[in-house]
Amino acid sequence: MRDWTTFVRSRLRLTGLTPDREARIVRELAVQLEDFYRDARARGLSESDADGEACRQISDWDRLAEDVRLADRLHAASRFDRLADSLDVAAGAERAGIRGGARMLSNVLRDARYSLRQLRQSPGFSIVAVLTLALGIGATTTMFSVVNSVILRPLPYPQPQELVSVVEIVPRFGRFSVAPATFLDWRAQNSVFEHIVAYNGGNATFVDANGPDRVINAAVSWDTFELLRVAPALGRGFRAEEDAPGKANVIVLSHGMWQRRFGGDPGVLGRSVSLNGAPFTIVGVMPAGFRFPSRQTEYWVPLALNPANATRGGHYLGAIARVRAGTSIEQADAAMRTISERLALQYPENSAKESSEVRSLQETVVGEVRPALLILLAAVGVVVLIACANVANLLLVRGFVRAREIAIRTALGAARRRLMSQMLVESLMVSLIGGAVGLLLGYLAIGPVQTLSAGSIPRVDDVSIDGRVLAFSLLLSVVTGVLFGLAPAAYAGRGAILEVLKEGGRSSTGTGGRWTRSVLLVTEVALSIVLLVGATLLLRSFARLTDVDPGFQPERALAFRVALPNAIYREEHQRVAFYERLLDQLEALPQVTAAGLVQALPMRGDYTLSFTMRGRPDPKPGDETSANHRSISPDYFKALGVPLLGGRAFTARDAEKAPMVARALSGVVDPKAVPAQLARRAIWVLDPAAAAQLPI
Amino acid sequence: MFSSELKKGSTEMLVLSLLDARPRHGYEIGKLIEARSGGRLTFALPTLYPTLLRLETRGWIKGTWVEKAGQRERCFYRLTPKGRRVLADQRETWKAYVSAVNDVLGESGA
Repeated sequence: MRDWTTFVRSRLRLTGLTPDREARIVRELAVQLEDFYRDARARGLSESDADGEACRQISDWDRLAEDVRLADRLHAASRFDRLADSLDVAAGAERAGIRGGARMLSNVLRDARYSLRQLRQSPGFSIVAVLTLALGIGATTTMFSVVNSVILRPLPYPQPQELVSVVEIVPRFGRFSVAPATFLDWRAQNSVFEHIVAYNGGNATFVDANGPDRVINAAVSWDTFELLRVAPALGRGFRAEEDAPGKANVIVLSHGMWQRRFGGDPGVLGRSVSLNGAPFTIVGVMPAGFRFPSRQTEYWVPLALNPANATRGGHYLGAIARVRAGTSIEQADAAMRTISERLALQYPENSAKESSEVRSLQETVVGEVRPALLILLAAVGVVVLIACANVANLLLVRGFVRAREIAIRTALGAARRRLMSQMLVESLMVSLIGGAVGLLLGYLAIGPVQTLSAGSIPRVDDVSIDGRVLAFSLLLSVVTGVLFGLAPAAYAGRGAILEVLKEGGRSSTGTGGRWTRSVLLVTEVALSIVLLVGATLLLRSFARLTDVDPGFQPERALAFRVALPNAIYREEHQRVAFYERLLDQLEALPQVTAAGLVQALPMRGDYTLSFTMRGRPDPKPGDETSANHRSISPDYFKALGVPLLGGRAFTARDAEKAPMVARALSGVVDPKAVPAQLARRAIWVLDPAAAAQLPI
Repeated sequence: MFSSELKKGSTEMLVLSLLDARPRHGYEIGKLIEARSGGRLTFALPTLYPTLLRLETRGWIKGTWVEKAGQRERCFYRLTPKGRRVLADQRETWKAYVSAVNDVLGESGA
């Protein structure tokens, strides 16, 4: 009689069932065929006839296999196993060729499945390990997505590597804004730039049919959009002839403002709007995402510098340029330095010792925050290391618990390499799941990070998770998985089988294991201390910063901005009258104790003024002493709670005499010396146009 | 004797009803159907076996490997409580169906 099991197994091609199930079906069919055979024999058939009758019971084996597969769906093997099976088959087929590749992948898949089962069996361990890693990887992913978007991603303009910022280098101040006359000279004399443009951010009262709005704008050279190579989404940019005083009554809207104020109406071109009381015609709308020079800029108008009366002493412009193809930034820098130093010699009264610097625009935008971001990235990297050490420890402890299992498997013939690779695959599974959860956490954290750092980190609006961040998270997960999986894998590979088996499962930790865990613990504590020290220093700096006396009392002080449209308040006396009326009415409010005016609040920008002291020799050009100053109204000190160290505050009569006055000199002059000096000191303002001698 | 279309609807019920009395193995079930129907109903192994698997997957029957004295080890199927309920339902439905069919045939014959 034939071996019916072999007969069935050689004909029935069952795919996609678990091995146990497959074996049972083969066995049962074999038993039944044998029944047919025996029955036939019992009926008196010859051996061969009986065999033929039994064999004929199943004619279409493929059909039977398909029917069995459909009937037995519940016992279908998982896709995972089916893939591993097919890889095994592939490995068998290619045995002659590249041996092992598919087999290895099949082993990895089986290990992965086994690991998942192990993780499911100890949910407590799995959740703690995954969450620990998720927190570390999540924090790092968030930080990396910030670094990626802010530092690594190029600026959102075509050929961004050609874009540079150009600043003046002024003695005593270093990098400084550009004076209009200097900019015009740069523009005329350089041959290294394809375009060089200036811009000046400001704000204005914007009035259209929907009413007035205070909006942030930028006055820009006419070819700014050409330089950045960004075309308007609608209409046109500025023309050269519009970049001149008296002709600059055109405006280009940002996409955001177009949407908000005009509902995205394409018929907005040619419409007239009022800016600071003067009519302007809308000629274009920039595409969404165009943010220059700041993300708040709502519209652009031509800068319209007047070469006839451009100042060389007032520095207030920003300048960017695009270097010509084939010119390096260093060459452009050298060329511009030559021009600036020539100008410094040409105009010693205003530009003595001045120079210039050309830097990549990307560097200018993000250069300041780069060290901070990289330090933060390193800090969260340390957090990941701590998480790794933690999880390695957890895995090790679990490894000791499973020592018996490992020992038995080794005794049964499992190769050490397979055991080690299985432990590694297990830690990789933990780290990949942790990475996936971490990525989700990182994604969720981006919104709050953007809100918290708005204004302090440039380009933070652009932070997003892109391919690079995904690749980073994956790499981080794999690296952490290998990192914390190494110790447990090494332990599994060491396999002190006999000892473990002899101890009958009582085995806890061997000397080696204890040593590894001690190393991990020490590493963890050391890393934590590094982080703690860093965080403490940061907190101390922050505490000291908040302790600094700003020189005024911000409590109960309210501030708001007022700007008068030049088109309506043309004359100075009109403006003065307005401000006097404003102050009177504010002070008349019962809730107000004092009201004052200043051109810029404390800590908001520098207004430097060069001066000389009476009785001292005049300094050489470029060596003048200067001070940060503010023009204020009489009750400004009272409103802001600035204590007077001596003398008196300004009165209305001072204002009539002096168009410009100096701030009380606390911090500049020794306070104890002030009273005695008050009557005798005077400041000379060096600007010839406003030359005035002012008493302190 | 009968077309496979005609048999298809009743195979499951036949298997369940044979298992109602006691557990049986696959070969026995096939032979019993043939014997009880006087050879008019036969189910080939490729039809019967997937049916057994399907019924087991649904939880109506349960197969267990048993080795009886002097016999080879075989898989014996028994009816589960769920299978018993299903069988009762199917019997009712079958009776109602047969009676309805008979009524129709009777009318047309009159």
